Amino acid sequence: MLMPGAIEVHDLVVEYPLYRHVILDRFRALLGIFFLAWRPHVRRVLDRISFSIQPGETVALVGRNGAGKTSLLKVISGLLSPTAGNVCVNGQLMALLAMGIGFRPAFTGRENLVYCGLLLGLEKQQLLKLVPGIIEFAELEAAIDQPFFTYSSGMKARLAFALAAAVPFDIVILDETLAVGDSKFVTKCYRRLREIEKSGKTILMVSHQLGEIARLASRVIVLEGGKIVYNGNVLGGLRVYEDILADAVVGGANRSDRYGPLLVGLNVYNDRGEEATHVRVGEPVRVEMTIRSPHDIGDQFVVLRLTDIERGHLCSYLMPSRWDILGQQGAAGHDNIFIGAGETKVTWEIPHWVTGEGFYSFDVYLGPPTDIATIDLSQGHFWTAVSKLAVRYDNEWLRGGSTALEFPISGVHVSRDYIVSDMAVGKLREQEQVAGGQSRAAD
Amino acid sequence: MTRRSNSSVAPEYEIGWIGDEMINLSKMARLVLNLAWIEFKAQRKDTFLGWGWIVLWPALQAGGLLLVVGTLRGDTGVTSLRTMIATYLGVLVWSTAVGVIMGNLGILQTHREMIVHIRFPFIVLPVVDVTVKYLVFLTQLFIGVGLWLLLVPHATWGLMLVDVLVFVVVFYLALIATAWIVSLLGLAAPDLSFILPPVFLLLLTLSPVFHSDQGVLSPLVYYVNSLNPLSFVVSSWYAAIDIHESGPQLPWVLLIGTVVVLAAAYKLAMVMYREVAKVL
Repeated sequence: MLMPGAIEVHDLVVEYPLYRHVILDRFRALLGIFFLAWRPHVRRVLDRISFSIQPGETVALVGRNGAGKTSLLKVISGLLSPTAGNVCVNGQLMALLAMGIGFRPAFTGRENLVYCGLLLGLEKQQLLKLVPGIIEFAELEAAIDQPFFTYSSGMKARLAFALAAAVPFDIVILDETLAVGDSKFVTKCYRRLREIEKSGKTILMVSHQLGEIARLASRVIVLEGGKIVYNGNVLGGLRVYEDILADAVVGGANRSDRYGPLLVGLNVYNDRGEEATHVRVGEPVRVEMTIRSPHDIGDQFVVLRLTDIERGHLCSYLMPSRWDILGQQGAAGHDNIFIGAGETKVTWEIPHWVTGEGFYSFDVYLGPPTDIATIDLSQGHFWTAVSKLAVRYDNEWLRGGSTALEFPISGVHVSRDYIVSDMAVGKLREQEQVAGGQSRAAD
Repeated sequence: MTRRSNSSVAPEYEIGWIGDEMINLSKMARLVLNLAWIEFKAQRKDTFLGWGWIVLWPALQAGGLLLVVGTLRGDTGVTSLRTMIATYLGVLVWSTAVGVIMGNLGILQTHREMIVHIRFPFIVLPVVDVTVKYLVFLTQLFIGVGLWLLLVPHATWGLMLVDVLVFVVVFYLALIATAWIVSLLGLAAPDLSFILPPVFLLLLTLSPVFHSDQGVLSPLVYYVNSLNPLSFVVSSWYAAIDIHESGPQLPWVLLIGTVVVLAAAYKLAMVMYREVAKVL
């Protein structure tokens, strides 16, 4: 017997009919239910998938389009019957696979709440008690008795999420549902999801927003071609997913061979030199990126990207010599650094942390040298959510997020601990000469 | 709630609440009534006459058809009040049945987005559609039967009302069974939505609604009519309200038969609807 809130999937297979002639094949597919020998051609979208989710886990399903994520969610939700295999779900399940579906344009917002609430399994009396809270959460007090066709897409999304969040459940299933709505609404949804997470409910989500996954998920399952290619911690999962994406773009085993063995880490230190996961706005911060490589990979264009996870905003790009890709040109030399066998550290000294309160993620990109005017990031490799950072204000009155594209940097240092090779020695000498020349020019 | 799918060939799997049939029937009935009531209230919003159309529409339909069929038959003289009310009552039953058939042919396609995105027992969709139409039908029936009792003297009106009551239950159950079957037929053969309207119109003009004396019709038409289930329903209805002396006076047998058909249609819908999401 499964514990409440648990999901178990064993050897799951899902096949869809392949249409040559839609009507004829649909007819055959329906007949095929009774006459099993007469089955249309099929496409297998999930191929012997097995995994389990424990109560209270937040699991993210990632994968390229067509990998089978939505089909898997539909089978778990009970919307789709599997071709073979077992699916066990214990607990009340709330599946939010699309925003605003089921709402009738001619109904008012209030009528739609009752109509869809009933469809979602709520009793009418229970629903009538919940309606005021739902309207308040959706902030639609003024428009709730207007016809639904007068609502903007943001208002529709707010109403849909507010209703879904009000339904009692043990397990919630989300399919890229937070990709809609304005940033204020998205922030509100995240707060609600955090509450759900803290209350010990199980969350199974599909998202292409890696920052969102890094913030929320405790485990990542990567699907590719209907099979599970990774099932484990978030960082590893995102790396595998990034590799799949990059392979799809670059298509090269060469790229994987080149960047696969690299280990990239990132640490944030506060003004006391302690490693920090939380910083205060205005506090001095040191960001240290470490790249470990088993062999020389030569000059690399290195970018550190800071993203506001909750709002999905890009805050800044930091580079070894160009402090901000969108802002001021740094004083020091060129944009690429040599990555040799061993350890390379790049440190950014930030005198004052300038973003607003929130949760931030650091992503790293390494790739071949590129023209700074037309940056091409398709040939390199991304490491997503290498590190996360929470930022807060001391003053309650200053709550809220802000974006800082121009990050103040008081210094950038590159240090190396190489396994000495001829290539490394040559490159280091070359870079020292460049740095020396610039230093003299600055003097 | 634990859901499980086991077999590699024909997996047992529940969609929403369908699996726990008997336990959830009362819950589904409440759901159907609530949804139907919301739809029923909202349906008349978009017109100026609103609820007025409930009575006006079948009256117009009956009047128009009576005129056309009477002209074609070469009728002369004034149509009696009895004939007008009888036609109105016959058209009510016929148009409700045809409305359910036509409305449910494309119901799964119409609600495709809901079916593939929201977890709910979508087996109730045809039942909600039938119930909304039935609420309209009952309102019309109440007025029609009231007029019938008021204007045409009946010695055994108490017995007639019992027959009407039995017919109302049988007709509702039969319509639900029809809706489930038709919704699947419409998915497999969508061309039916183009073929059926003229066929139904033709059958209506030949039906007992406009031909109280079936013996007058040609043998071929009589044969077609006797095979037409809608004509059978209208004949039963007319027998129940004593419009025709002859006719299938079998409301109780009909009730049992309908329950059996309904159970079979429910089972069929349960099996087929599981696969619907894949072919939609």
